[in-house]
Amino acid sequence: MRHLDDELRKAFGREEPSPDFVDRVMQRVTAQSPTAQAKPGWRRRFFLMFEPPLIRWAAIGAAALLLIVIGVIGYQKSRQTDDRQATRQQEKTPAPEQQEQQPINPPEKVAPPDKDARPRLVNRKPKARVNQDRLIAAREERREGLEAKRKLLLALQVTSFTLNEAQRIVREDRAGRE
Amino acid sequence: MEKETSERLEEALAKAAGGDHLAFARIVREHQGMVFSLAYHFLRDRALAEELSQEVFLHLHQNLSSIKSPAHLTFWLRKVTGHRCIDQSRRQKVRPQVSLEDMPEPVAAISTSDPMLSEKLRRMVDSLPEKARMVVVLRYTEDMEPSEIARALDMPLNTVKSHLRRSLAMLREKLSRCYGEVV
Repeated sequence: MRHLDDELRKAFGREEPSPDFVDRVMQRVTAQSPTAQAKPGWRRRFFLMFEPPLIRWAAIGAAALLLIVIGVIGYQKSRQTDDRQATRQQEKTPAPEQQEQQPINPPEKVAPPDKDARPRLVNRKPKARVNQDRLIAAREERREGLEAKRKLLLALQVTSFTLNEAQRIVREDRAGRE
Repeated sequence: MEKETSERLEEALAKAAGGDHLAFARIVREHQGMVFSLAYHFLRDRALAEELSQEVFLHLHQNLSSIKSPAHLTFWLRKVTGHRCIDQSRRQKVRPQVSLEDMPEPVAAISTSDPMLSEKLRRMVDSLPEKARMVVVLRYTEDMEPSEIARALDMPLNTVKSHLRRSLAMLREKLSRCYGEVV
């Protein structure tokens, strides 16, 4: 004769989980703690907008934009100066076709055949000068264009460097918080 | 001694509710055996029982503020574990359910010192329907009264009593066939 109750109590005695059970529970608790999981309310999210990383990002963005705008304006100004110089030079010197047409149009002003060496020389001299001036102007224009391009690239380089630096700071800041 | 333990637990509860992880670890250590035993005897799978027990404690961590006393904590843990075990068993449905009547009879009478008796009893209980099984597990693992079981499982007291009566009658009948008279 045996007692079923006793046998059942023996069969359903206490069992212990694995020794690291508490540690595993605590790991999961830490991973799911409210500070790590909770979604902030709209008020908190609004104030989060003004926390350092975002302000820093906004300042960096504004600085980068400013630098780009300054670069573009500088480049446009240099282009305008070049255009004005070129226009002024064009106004000073007549067009080459006009110079060529001048001796041809009035036939009575054409020098006599025995003195043709001199007028030819006179006609050639301004044409060479014009070509030379145009060459110089083109060189000047090219030089200034390159200068403006160099400035723009420098501005972009500075912006890129600033952005990288800011990104690094924000990453470090985030890592520090975590 | 028991009063001292209760006071320590009460203190740990207050601290844990305030966000003290060490205090919560103390609570887990204190109750892990109870939660795991219930889950293991019901599910009969150590890995699954550990996973379920962890989930119960995670749930407790999220609801610490609603726990009023150590006695309430014990009741809460039993209740949550019981319900989760039943849900898990219903979801799983992997293990084929064999009714107690369909269990094979032991081929020969087993001696009184049979070390396999407990295992046989566990297997018999294992074949009971979910609610009846949980009633038996709570009754014999935690030594709970039918009224306590009824509150923990949100069941009418008479249903608990009837589950216990029917389950024990079947177990008694099965066992008496091989052991002789069983009380």
